[in-house]
Amino acid sequence: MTEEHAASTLPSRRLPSLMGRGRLSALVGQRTALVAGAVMISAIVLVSVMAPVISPYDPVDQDLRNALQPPSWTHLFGTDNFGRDIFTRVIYAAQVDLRIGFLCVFFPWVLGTILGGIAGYAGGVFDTLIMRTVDTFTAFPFLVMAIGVIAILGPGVTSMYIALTLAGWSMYARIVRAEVLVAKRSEYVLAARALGFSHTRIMLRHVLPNVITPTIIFAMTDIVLVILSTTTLAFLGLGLPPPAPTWGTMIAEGKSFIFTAWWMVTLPGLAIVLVGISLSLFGDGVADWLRERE
Amino acid sequence: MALLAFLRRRLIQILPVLFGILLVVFMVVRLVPGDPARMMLGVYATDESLAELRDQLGLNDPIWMQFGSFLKDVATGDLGISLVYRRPVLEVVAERLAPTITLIAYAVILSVLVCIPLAMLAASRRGRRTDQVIRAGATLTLAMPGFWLGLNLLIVFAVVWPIFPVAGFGDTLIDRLWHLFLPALTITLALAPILIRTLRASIIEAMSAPHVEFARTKGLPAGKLMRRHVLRNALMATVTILGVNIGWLLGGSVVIENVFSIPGIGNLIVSSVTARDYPMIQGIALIFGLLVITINLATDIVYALLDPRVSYD
Repeated sequence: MTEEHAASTLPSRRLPSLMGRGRLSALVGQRTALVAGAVMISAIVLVSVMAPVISPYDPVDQDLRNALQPPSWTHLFGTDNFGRDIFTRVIYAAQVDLRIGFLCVFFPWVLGTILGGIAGYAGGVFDTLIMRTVDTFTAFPFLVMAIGVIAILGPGVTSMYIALTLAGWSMYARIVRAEVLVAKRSEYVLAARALGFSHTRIMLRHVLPNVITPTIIFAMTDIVLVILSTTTLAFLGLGLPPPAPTWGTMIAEGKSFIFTAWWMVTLPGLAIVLVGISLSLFGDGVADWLRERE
Repeated sequence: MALLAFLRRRLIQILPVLFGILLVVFMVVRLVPGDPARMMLGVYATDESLAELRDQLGLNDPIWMQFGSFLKDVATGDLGISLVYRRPVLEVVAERLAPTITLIAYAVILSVLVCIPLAMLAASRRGRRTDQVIRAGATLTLAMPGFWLGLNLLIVFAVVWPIFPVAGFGDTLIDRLWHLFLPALTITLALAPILIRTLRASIIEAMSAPHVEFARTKGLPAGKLMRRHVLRNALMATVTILGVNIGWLLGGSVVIENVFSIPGIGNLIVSSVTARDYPMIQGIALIFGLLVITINLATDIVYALLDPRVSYD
């Protein structure tokens, strides 16, 4: 196998985020992308936190007399089949959706880094065992893996965290392992070993800081796909149970009304697209900045 | 001969992964919190039916014996009995396989037809307006969730302008292609950003390669140059990207089938989760895992056949 071919056997869902160059930041410039992304995300979070002040409506209370109203000045995004204001539900949902999205990147990052670090540093049986597990986990389509785990644990937010952690850690483990294998042979590690430092100390104080950047770069570019996956699971009814609003469940509820109330599907989805674009901008900006520092 | 040796080596590499997949799938039922039989049959199940299901699933045996008989069953094509359909899992899955595979094949063909011309256009107009528009469009669709995109296509092309059907799979080939057009288009739009980006990069690289420079200098017409030298490289890249993303494609089809009510295995796994039909979930997870490793292997072989530079070791 050639070098490029070996690189091409990276697992499925990950490829888009690994494309690196030629993304938004390349189109608008790195600094602009970073700032614009950060501003947009902050604005979304701010609007969501201020939701009770911004909107006169309640996200859960039903008002059946006003069901299925099209968008208007009183109901910007219209109302759903229970007469709830969709715009209100969308901005309330942002908090939940963003938190789930961030944690579903954070947990796999932690687990993958620890296991990848052990595999690379300890080598031998640990390496074989962990990397075979990585191979197995990547053989399942990401979403199928996540659905399977949720099937075992039952739908809910905790299940979603566990499912996406199990489905997502393997790529981080691969990256960290590869980096640790290089760092292990470097002079500063040899020097630390010669000074008689413990393995724990070498790993945490010397190896880890030097291998962590690529994982953060990956996490930054991965976050959009993770958010899309969490909304997808919610859409399939495997996330937070109703009536709590999340973008995915709102769109799922609208699915039965596409003939009469398009706004129930189309408008909540715009929130996901907006978050997707802001995170692309922000993530690309951060990733480029980190690459330059490397 | 070299190809055979390559195949043998790849098959040996696959074995541990295959074992891992079987182990993970086996664990699905065993990891259910509490009493799996109770979870599957519900609170109103009688003691006899619970005991019968436990017996049927072999839950009373020691775990290693359970795994042994599971492996034996899988080897003989016995994936258990669905709790919902009351029929062998393999039988139900087999009936649902055709829509899923048709959908994915359709989406792949559509993606190639859409993405290669766009990528070539972007690459040949590099840095100019056309290129920027194509790339910005690709980035925009990357931020769109597939299920939302699909529902919006439904609203526009099935409700507002009723050109395409809202749901289903169809009977004849033409009918199926018509039914599956919107779902396949949705997958294409989701796949496009990935394909176009990579293809654009590989075409740009190919266009500046020495042999292409030479062909250009000796006066080969632009069209012929593209077909002979650049397109071949683009095809290689496409095969790789599609192969690598097959897991993602299969996963994506789960949602798209749900949106367009296509009776495929993706739809089946979601309804099985809701119905707690664990033998079915097990069976489908296994089929998905096997599909991914088989297609990855096929990609490696196609890649090796397409590119004489790839050595078999």
